[in-house]
Amino acid sequence: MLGIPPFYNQTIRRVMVAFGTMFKDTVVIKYDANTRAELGRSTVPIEYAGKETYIQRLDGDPTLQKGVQIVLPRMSFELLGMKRDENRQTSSYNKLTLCQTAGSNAISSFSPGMPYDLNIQLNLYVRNQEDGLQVIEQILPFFTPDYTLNLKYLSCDGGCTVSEDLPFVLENINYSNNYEGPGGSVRYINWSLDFIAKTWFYGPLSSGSVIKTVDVNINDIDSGNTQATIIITPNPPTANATDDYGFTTIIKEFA
Amino acid sequence: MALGAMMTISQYFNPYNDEAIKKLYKSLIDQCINMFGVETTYIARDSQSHVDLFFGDDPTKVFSNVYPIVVMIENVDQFDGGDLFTKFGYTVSKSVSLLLGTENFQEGTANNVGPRPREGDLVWLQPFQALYEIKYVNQDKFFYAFGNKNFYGWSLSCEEFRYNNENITTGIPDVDGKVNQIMIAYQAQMANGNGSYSIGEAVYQGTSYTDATSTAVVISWDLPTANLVLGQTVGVFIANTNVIGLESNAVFTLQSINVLDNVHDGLDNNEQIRQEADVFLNFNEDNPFGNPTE
Repeated sequence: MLGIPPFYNQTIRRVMVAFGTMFKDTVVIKYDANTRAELGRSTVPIEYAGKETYIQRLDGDPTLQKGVQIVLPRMSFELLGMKRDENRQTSSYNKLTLCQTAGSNAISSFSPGMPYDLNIQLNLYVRNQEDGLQVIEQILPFFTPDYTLNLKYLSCDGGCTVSEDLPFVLENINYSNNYEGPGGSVRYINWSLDFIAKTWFYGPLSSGSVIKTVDVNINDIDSGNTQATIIITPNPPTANATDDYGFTTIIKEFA
Repeated sequence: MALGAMMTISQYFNPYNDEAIKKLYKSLIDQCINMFGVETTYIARDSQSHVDLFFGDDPTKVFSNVYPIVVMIENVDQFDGGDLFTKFGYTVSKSVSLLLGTENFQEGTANNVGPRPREGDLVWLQPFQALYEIKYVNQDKFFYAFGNKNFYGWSLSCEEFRYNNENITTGIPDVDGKVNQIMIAYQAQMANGNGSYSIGEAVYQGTSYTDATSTAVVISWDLPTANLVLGQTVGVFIANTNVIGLESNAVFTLQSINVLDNVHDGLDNNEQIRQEADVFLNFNEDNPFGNPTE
């Protein structure tokens, strides 16, 4: 596109996985109603919704003898959409640089990211009210209204990364308990939580040489003649960006 | 002839008071069900604590009392409903209608369940190797053929069970085997030890089973690889601590257990998320304003 070699930073995938990691170890405990002693516990399975149907079929019931409808409780999440966030937009002229690639004179740079808000929905399906309430009450206190992770968006060949805070903002909570209906109806309890992930989209990394020599000519404004030249180089000249180095300054004056 | 005399019910054709006709009708129903029915297992619901009357459910329900009954499947050629692909994965949303005779039910359950089948109880359909939950007991199936107080049978509206990791221990190998294939279970890697765990036995960590800090049930055990799969876990299993078999007295040291990977769930992503996120989630606590020691 635009004559630029193809690139793919896996930003959306990383944001979605980062989202999932917040809920991957949610546990539901069964308590004795009288003594509050624990009677059992299980990690709530979570999956990205919207898998290929053949994957769902083959992995969900590989022998075609599942024998039950579904195993609950269960969570899923999915990307619903995204929108550019103009409030976080910065100037596109600010070129940012990463570290120098080890053993070479190259340095990576990139343009500022485009800020986008990703709409992500977390869904919860439970059989019992207590199960749902346990999950919800484990989630809510940590979103004030956001919970922030730090995500590595880009990595250069030298090992440096572009890491940015990634706030997940809890926007809405919807609860549905469908229990009305004729004889033979069953109760379905679903929760859905709407989040916004404040993410960035970066273009490709570009690579260039490190500037190691700076020549400054000082000219007479009237005659235009060069009065002096200042040459600045790193000391030692072989220093890399991450080394401990100084500068050598040579000033040549002309009569 | 007086009008009142014409309105009386014939004493020769009054089915509501004829016990012989009622008995015949009942026998015909039971006979039909016995002829065309299938042997099934009625699994009664119980509770580890009690039903939550506030929210109206029971997260601690268990199923262990089983009774043989015969039901006739009303569906002619297929189940109602079908399979669904939902945001929660693949769902087997099949339902079936079963005819159950009163006498068969009372004899089969030995009057331990109550006067009628209960919604929320399970039926194990042996031919289909599946657990069905009774959603609704229709008492009007035979439309009170001989009066309101005479039940001849029920029509049970059932759907495949929405399993909530309940403890289902029936002693029937097919049922328990099925439950062992679907229950939430985690793989544990054991280190040194002695003995050998038995499938289905309780294991624990702690000084004794009654004072255990964690318990579980053995779903599978492979001695050569020391892989132990545990279900019905209670508490947290700690690594580098012995896991003791209650019946076998086997003792092995727990090396690790992965509670993010339910070995019976092919669609969950918990463990995959953990592995993938480790690559790009940054947990370094760098000071963004520089290092104060420099």
